Amino acid sequence: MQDTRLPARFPERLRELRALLPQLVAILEQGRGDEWYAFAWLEETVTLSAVCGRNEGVQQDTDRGVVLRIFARGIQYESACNRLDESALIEMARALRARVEADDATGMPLPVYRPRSWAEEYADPLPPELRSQLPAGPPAVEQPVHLGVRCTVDPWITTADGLRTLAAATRQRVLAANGAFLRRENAARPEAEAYPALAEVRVLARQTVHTHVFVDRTRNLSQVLPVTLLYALGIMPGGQTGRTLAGGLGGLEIAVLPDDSLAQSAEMPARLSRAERLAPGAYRLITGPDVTGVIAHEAFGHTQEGDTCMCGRSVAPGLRARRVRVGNDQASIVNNPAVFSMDHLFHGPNGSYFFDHEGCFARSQTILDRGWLSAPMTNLTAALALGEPRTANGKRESWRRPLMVRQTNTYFTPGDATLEELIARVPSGFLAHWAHGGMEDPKGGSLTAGTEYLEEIRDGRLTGRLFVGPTGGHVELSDPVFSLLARIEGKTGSRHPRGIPENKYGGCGKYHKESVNAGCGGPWILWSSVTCG
Amino acid sequence: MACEIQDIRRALAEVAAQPGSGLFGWTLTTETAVSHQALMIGGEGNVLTVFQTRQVTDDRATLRVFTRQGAPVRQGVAVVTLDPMADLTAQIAAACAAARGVDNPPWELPAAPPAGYPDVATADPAIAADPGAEHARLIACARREAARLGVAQINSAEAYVSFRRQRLESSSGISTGRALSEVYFELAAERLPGPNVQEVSPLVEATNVDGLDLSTFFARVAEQAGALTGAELPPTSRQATIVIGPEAITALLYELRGQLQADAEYERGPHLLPGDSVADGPLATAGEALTLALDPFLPAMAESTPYTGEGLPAERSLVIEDGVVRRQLVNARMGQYLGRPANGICGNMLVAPGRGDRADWFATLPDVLEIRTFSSLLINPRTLTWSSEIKLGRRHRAGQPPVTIKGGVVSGSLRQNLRDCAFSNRRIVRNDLPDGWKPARGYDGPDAMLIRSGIQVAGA
Repeated sequence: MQDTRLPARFPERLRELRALLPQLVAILEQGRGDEWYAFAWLEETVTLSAVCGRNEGVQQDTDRGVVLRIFARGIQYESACNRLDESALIEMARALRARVEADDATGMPLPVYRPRSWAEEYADPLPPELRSQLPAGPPAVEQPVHLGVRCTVDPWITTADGLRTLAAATRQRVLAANGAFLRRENAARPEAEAYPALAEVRVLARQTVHTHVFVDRTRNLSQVLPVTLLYALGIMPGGQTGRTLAGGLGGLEIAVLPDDSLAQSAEMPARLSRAERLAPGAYRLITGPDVTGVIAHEAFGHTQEGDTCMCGRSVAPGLRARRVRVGNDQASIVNNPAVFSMDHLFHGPNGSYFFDHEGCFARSQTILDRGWLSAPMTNLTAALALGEPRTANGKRESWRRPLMVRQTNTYFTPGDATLEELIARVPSGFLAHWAHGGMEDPKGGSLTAGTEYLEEIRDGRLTGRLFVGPTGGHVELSDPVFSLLARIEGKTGSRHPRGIPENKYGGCGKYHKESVNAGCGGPWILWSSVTCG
Repeated sequence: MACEIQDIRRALAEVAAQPGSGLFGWTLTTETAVSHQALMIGGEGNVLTVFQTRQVTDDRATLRVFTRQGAPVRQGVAVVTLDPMADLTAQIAAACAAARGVDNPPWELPAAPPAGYPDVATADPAIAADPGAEHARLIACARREAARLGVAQINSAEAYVSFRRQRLESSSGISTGRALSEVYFELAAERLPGPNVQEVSPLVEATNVDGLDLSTFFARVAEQAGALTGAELPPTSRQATIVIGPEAITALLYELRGQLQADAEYERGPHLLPGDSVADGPLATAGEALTLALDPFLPAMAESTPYTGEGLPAERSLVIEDGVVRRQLVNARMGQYLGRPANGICGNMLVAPGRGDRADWFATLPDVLEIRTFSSLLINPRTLTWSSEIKLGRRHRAGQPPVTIKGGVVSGSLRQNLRDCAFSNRRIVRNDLPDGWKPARGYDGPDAMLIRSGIQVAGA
C-alpha cells in the first residue's frame, strides 16, 4: 500500500536564519580549514501542551537557539545564544573565532577532522525512509536538503486549544471507565471492602515539534521531528497510580488511546491499592517491551556510549578487547536512530531522527550481538579518540547544554515465541509490564530498572494477583549485567518487515542530568531469574 | 533580538482592549543568563584536559495570562514563552484564546506587598561581575586539587558556572527581581592501582565557587574511591537497619514537605495537615522525632529567595516540630480555594540535629548497612515509598571489620521509617541546583540518619 503521508514541512519563519548559517561557518573556519572544522546548528522547539485535572492549564513554548562550534587542537569550542538577529550572530561567530585563536590550550591528541562528502554518504547505505527523501544524486554543498517525519495530521496546525479539548475528553473517558469499574466490582462486595473512586485523573496532551538545521562545509541539512504524547494518570486517595499513554514520532494521529487501554488509568490504581507486597528475592520474570527496553538501554546502552568508553568509565572496551562474552545467544541489542515504523505501528518512537546534532546520518547499529560486544556508539570526539566509526549518536539536551554520546532508540532484537508460550514456561514467577525508571553503571556493570508492579504467574498462567514492592512502592530490578544477559530464556517475535520491535516513548538522563528523548523497547523477554525488591 | 518588557506591556494592553479577550491578569517572568561549562578528561597524574568548552547567553520571557469567562465565572490560565521572532500581540491573543477554554475556579492574583520584599543574598558578587573568570578559577582550583589526589585516578570531570538575572512583574502591581548564581563540579574516579571495574562519580553544587569546598570534596572522592574493594551483595532482609547520608535525607524530606503543600490537599491526594504526625504510627522508644524548618533567607543557598513563585514575600517558619506538622504551605491560589490565609513559607530545609553519632552506630549496632550512594533513589511523592539499587555502601557488624557492599535493592516507606529513626549530631550544609531532573533543594542539618523501621533489602 502506498504511503500517502507527507513529510513535515520546514517552517518558513526559519528560512532567513538558515540562509545566514553558511556565512557563519565561513567566518569560523575561513583560512583555517586545514586545521579546524566548524559547523553551525540551529534548533527550534515548539511545544504545545494542555493538562486537564482539578487544576488545569495550557502552555506554549517556543525555544530557539544557535550553536556555533570550532573543533581545533583537540577541543570542541562552542558558543550558543538565542539572540538571533544577524548582527548578534555574526558577532558571536567572530568572537568565537577570536577566542579559539587566542587560546593556547591543547586538548586531546586528536587528528584533524575531514567531514564526509555527499558522494561518500551516498556510497554508504542509508535507511530506506531517509534515502527516499534525499535527491536522487548527491546534492551540491550549498543545496538545502530537508527531511521530515511523515504525518497524517500536519503538526503545524495543532493548537493548544485543540490539545486541551483532547485532554478534557480523555479525562472524561477515564472518569467514566472508573465509574463503570466501580459499579461492576463493588456490586458484589460488602461496603467496607468497596473500592473508592479515583481521587484525581490528570491528562496531559502535548506536541513538540523539533526543527534542526545543520550546516558545515559539506552540507546544509534540516529535519522536522514532531513528537506527540497523550498521557492519562489515575490517582487513588492513598496515592496509588496507574497510567496509560500513546505517543511517539508523528502528528496527532498517534495520540489515540483505545478504550481497552484506559483500564490502566481507570482500574489499575484501585487494584494496586489492594495489591500484595512482594517478598524481596530473585524470581523468574517476563518483562514487557517497556521494561525490556529500559534493561536494554541501561544494560549495554550506556556502557557502549563512546564518550564513556573514551574517559575510561565503561567496562565494555576491556571486555571487547579480551573477547569476553557478556550474554547468551539471545542477548542482542540494537541502537537505531532510524526507526520510523515498528512492530505493527506506522510511526516511530520519540528517539528517532534523520541525522544527529553533529550532522551524522542515522544508521542502525548492533551494539551487542548474541552476547558479543561490537564497536561503541560515538560522536565526533569519541570516534576520533577511540579510532572507531562515526555513528549518529551526538546529541544535546538543547542548544544550552553540551553535546555527548547519547542513545537514540535502544532495543533487544525479537525472538520467535508468543507471549502465551513464554507464560506457559513459567511454573512460578511474575510478569512486569510497566517501567519505572532505571539507572546505568557502565563501569561497575550492574543494572537497575524499575517496574510499577508485578503480575503473578503460577503453573504457566497469570493468576490475576498483583504485587507491589516490599514496602508498598514500585518494584526495583537489579542484577549484574553479564549474569542477567546470560539468563534470557525466550523472546517474542515482531510483526515488522525488518524485525523492529515496539519501542516505547521514553527519555534519558545521562549521569542524572542532560535529558533527551530516547525510545527503548524490544520483545517480551523471559528471564530465568532477576533480583526484585 | 529579545522581548522587551515595555513592548510586552504594550501588547498586553492591546489585547486587553480587544473585545472578548477575557484577559483578567498576567504575570511576566524575564530572565537573562550567562553560563560557562567545560567537559574534561583525566590523564596521567590526574591532569585534567578540556575537550569541550562552552559559553551560552540566554534571554527568556515567560508570560502567564489569566482569563475569566462564563457563568458561573471560571478562570483560565495559559503560559507562553514569548517568541521574539513573532508578533507579540498575536501571541498574547492566542494565549488568551487558549486560556478561555481552561476550566478552573476563579482566584485573585496576589498584590504587591506593602512592606516590599526581604533582602536576601541569592547570588555571588564575583560570579555576577565575571562568570567566565570564576569558571576559569574553578577549573584552576580543581586542577590543583586533582594533582594532589594520589589514591585515585580521575576519569572525567565537568565544571559549570552560571549567572541569571530574573524579573517578576504582574498586573496586580508586583515588580521585583533577583539574581542567581549556580556552580557545580562533577568528577568520576576509580581507585588506584587500576584498571578496575568500579568508580565513584560525586557531584557538588553551590551558589559560588568557594561554596563547593573542593578540598573537602576531593578528600571525599579519595576516601570513597579507596573503599572500592571487594564488594559483596547485601543480605536479603525483611527488616534491615540502614544509615543514609545527607543527599538521601534531602531528597526524602523534600518529598515529605510536598505533602505539607495545600495543593496536595486540593488535589485530594495524600497530604498532611497541622496536627498530623509525619510518622504513620507510634514512635519507637529509642526513636527521635523530626523537626523541620524552612528558611528562605540563608545566604548563598539553593532555595534562598525574597519571594515565592506567585510573588508573595518569602517567609521563614517551623513546619514540623517533634514529628508533628505545625504549618501548611498555602499559596495565594490554594488559600482562596481552601478558605485559608496564604503564606509565603518556603526555602531551605533546616533539620534539628540529633543525639546520634555515626561511628557509634557502626560500632554498637549488631548489623547496619551504610548506604553511601544510591544508584537511583526514586521516591513516590504520593505514597512516600522509595526504592533503589545500592551503588556503594558498607556493612558494619559489631566486632567485625566493615565490608563494602554493592548491588541489591533497598526499599522503604518514609512515614514508616520516621517511626524509628535517629539523626546524627554532626551538621552539614548542601545544595541541589535545579535541572530537568530535580528541583532546587537546600539542606542544613544532620549528616546522617539511622533508620530501623520500614526497610527491606533484596540481596544475597
